[in-house]
Amino acid sequence: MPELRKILRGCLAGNKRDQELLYRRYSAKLYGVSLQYSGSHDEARDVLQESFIKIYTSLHTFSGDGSFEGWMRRIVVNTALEKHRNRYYLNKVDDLGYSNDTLPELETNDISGMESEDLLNLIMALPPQYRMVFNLYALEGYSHKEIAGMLNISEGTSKSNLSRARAILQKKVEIYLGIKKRMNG
Amino acid sequence: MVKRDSHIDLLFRNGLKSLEVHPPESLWEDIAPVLRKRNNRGLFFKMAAGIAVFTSLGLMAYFYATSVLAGQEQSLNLAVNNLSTLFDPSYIRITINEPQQEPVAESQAMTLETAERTISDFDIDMAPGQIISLQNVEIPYERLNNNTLRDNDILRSENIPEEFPARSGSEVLLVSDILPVEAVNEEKNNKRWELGAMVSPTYLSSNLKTANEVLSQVNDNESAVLSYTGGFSISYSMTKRLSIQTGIYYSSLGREVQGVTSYSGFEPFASSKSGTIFGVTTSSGTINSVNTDIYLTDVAGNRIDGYYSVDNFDPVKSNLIPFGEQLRQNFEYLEIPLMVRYKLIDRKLDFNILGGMSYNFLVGNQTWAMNKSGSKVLIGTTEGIDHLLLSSSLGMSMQYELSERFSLNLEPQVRYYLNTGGDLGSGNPYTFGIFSGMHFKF
Repeated sequence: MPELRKILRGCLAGNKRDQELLYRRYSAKLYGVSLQYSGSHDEARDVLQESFIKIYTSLHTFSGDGSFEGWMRRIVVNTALEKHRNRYYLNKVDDLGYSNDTLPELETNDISGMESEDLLNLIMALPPQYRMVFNLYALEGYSHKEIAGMLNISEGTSKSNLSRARAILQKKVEIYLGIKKRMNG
Repeated sequence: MVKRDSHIDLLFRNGLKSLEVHPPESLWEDIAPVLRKRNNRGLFFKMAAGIAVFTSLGLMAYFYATSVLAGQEQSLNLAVNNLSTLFDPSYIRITINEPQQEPVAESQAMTLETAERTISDFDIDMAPGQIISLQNVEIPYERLNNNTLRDNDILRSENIPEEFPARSGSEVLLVSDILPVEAVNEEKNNKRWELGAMVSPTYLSSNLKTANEVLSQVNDNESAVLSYTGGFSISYSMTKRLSIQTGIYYSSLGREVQGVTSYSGFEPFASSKSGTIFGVTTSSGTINSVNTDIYLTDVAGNRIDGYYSVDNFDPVKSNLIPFGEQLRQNFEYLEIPLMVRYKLIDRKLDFNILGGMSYNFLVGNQTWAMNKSGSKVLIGTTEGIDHLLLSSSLGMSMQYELSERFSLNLEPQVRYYLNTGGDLGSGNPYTFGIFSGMHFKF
């Protein structure tokens, strides 16, 4: 497989073959990221398409410092955020009425066997605002202050959304585990 | 039991760390055309910008020309002092005033030297019935017998035709008084067009600016080669000093890529392959080598991408024949310029400045493997270069009149390409050439 450096040089020169090689190499990984931030495959597909176009057109701005994969991942996340912000202004939802007060705690052993596809489905099923906050906080490592700035919400809303996202996910994991136990006998 | 919040976060963080989901196969088919479209859109904007600049230059030149002519027509009021009061008896002295102004006193008359300098600042187009108007200028006429009237000509009193109206006092002199109508019309429309044939050696350079180390290495191993440009031009004089010029030129521009060794005799090993055998990254784009007989290896870096490399194929062990150590890229363009030319000095040796813009259409794109003896083998083309370049030109022109119709021209010109032509980084190429040739006026 050709070196990444060669592929990048080719992409910078507008070589179609190298552009496709870059896509083939990273599209599965980035589609996974895109799905985490999207509610459906159609939405994720749009995000990925837009992200790759941004990647090709702004490749010359990549300084070479740090991980190229991390740089591309940030582009995908930012693209998903842009799309979310546009939608969110039209349909603002802060509180969907979920509560985490009565949720039982999970045992580590119970959930260690969960497949990544199952986890992805649970995240995708979250309400968009909760999904965004959970992803940015739990997976990307942003603080509530940073998330508030990214999503144009208050820090309190960010915390509240995170709390509810966790509650929903925990409840769904419980259900998942219950089904799994029944299936196993 | 772990803390619930961090637990659920960790579960998802670890579980999704290596998540990979293959997107629908059709997604790439949607991305690729968008990339091509974006390139075309950039091209469209560049074309639109170029047309806008061309139109603006044309309009500016037109309005400038018409305003100068209108100014001349407005002030065509010539008061001729009594011919008997010649400042110098060997010349006709004509003192010209603005309307309603008093005639200039003899003591204020200008010297002939001053007058000649002053008159050269005017762009006179005299038509029958028009009244010459120049301020405080001695008009020297010499060639009335030939029915021509030019700046800096000297009219000696003994050369005054008999039919020249003998007027006295402060009167108005009409051009039609001294020149036949036909002669004036002919003079006005005479020799406004100019056809030229020019050729120039051209030096192409690319001022590649990049902070990227890899791209700098690519650029360091390349050099421009002396190329040439030639073609025909046609210009139209809007005024005596201002003219616009267009034409068609053919340019052959080249770059040399060093440190890429080529071997011949690769055919038996590459015969099962089709399409591109090697891709060589250059600052102008990627050279796609499709010559199955040529094996390429990069001795100066890591610029070659291909199915074969020194890791899996040894050209020496396979008894390939070394051919050369460099590649030559050649790009051929047809250029259509629109230039504005302004005459600074109007003598036997004219001096002009010129500037404008050009469209350059790519009509040829070849890459050869070269050796020191000058032999070359075509290996393919360079992909990723723009098919249309927009360039701006600035230069000067010296024109030596061999006769009334023929002149020799020498024009040093710098051309700066507004788009990069496919270069990596942000550097724009530029060319320098010295055009020489012959012009014919008609």
